[in-house]
Amino acid sequence: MRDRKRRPWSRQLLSLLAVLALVGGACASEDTGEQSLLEELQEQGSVRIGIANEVPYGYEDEDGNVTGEAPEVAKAVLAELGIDDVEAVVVDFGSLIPGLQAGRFDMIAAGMFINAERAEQMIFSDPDYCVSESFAVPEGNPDGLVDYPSVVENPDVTIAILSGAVEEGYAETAGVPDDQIELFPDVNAQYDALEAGRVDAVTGTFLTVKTQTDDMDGFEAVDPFFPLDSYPDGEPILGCGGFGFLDQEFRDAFNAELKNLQADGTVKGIVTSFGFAEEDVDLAEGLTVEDLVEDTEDTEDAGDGEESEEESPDAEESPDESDE
Amino acid sequence: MPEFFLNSNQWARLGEGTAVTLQLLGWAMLLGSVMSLVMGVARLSRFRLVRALALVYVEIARGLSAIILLFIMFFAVPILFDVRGLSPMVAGVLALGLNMGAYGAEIVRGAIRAVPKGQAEATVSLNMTAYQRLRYVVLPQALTVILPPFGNLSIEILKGTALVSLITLSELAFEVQKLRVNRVVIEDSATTIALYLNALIIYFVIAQVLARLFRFAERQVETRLGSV
Repeated sequence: MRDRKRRPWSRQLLSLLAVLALVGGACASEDTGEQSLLEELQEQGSVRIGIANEVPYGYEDEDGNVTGEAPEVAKAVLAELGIDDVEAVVVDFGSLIPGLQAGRFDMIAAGMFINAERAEQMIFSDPDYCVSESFAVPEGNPDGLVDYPSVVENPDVTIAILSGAVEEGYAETAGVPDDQIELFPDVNAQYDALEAGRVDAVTGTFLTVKTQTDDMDGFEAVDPFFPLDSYPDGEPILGCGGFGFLDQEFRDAFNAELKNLQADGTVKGIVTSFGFAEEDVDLAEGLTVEDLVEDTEDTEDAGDGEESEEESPDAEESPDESDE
Repeated sequence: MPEFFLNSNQWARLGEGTAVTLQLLGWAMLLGSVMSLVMGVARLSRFRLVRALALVYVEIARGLSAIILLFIMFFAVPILFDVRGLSPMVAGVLALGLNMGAYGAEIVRGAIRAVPKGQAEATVSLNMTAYQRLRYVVLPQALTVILPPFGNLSIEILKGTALVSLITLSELAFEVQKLRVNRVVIEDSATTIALYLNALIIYFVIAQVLARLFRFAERQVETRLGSV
């Protein structure tokens, strides 16, 4: 075969990967395909969840046991499904979805916000909490940061963002230039950078910011706010988190039990024990994945802010008004 | 510095992490040494194909970033080919071991070539086989040249083990990472400084032990060879 054309390098790379896969395949245990994932998990009585080691959403305590808002809710729901043993796999926040897709764990229980972009890559449960955003700043807030536009107004200010987290998008929508942003692989590194003076502020959910700053000297959380889907006068984006799945049947079963536990107050008890406000849990209970995915889809075309009014739930301070 | 001390629980977690690090290091060094020897010798083979294959291995394994290789094995392969993929430990040993093997092969090749030609010629006149020549004449002399750079390489690999923390293996660096999270939820929490200082010292001590071991091995080899 002399006249064979040279294969493009991408094909060659692929064949290299194929060789790697053969090596991998030797150790891979083939699924029979007979059993569904849910049945398999129920049979073995254990499940692997992906967490990003973020207090209070999902983390390992001092003894190495997994806890946090999302893992605890997941444990309660999974127990109802007959799965009692929950094993955590800790990865970078940005590796949660790739890890799920690579089969490194069976579901994500890291309190991940539901949005359209992520919903294209996996299936979300309905949310179990909502939370607003905040900045961690030195005490007295010397740069006067109150929301993302105020960062743009202070060109000297650098903010720390968790790589792969929703805040990347929020900052982009608000027009925060890249050189004012520093990305970090995990939450701890963000706050270490703030303490070391490498950044002027850390963005995150109000709860994360509050938890961290309460533990630090000389730093505070600014008043919670909801970022807008376009500036200056767009709709507020609701940050509500749920659980991520690849398997539809597993997700549906999980979601049904989650709804039951929300109805009897179990979820609220667990979530509020991690510092979440009661109204934030109530707000989440009135929402479904569809509400949030459609809501954020409107943000994609941030240009036409006027049209996106239809059904984005009212997020302003008055969660009780939002009925389903 | 009072901040330096951790509580017993935290020590225990660091200890567990250290055990995993040592395990990773041991297997990676084993794989790396075998690959070094095989490929180093193959690079000097009489057969062109063997030489070429060894060269391809050395160039590829030396040129690939260990961390990218880890991510490919851990995340990309299972998605692309719908297989379960390697455990983090196996992936880590492969990435580090193959990497070490490529550098090591060059060391072995150089060391073998540094053995005076007359030695090999003498084995021919004694009617030794190629294996005997390598095993009893060339390698023992090459070993004195191989060992010092291999000590360096092993310490490099030790520090490289921390990369595997990125694919969920709870070795020393990852335990430190995870303990840092605790500081906001645990009363008796360790500071970032204390945790990293401890990890730093643990790595340093292991590196020292490695260096000593290699120096000891060097002396053994030298006395066995006598003053060549």
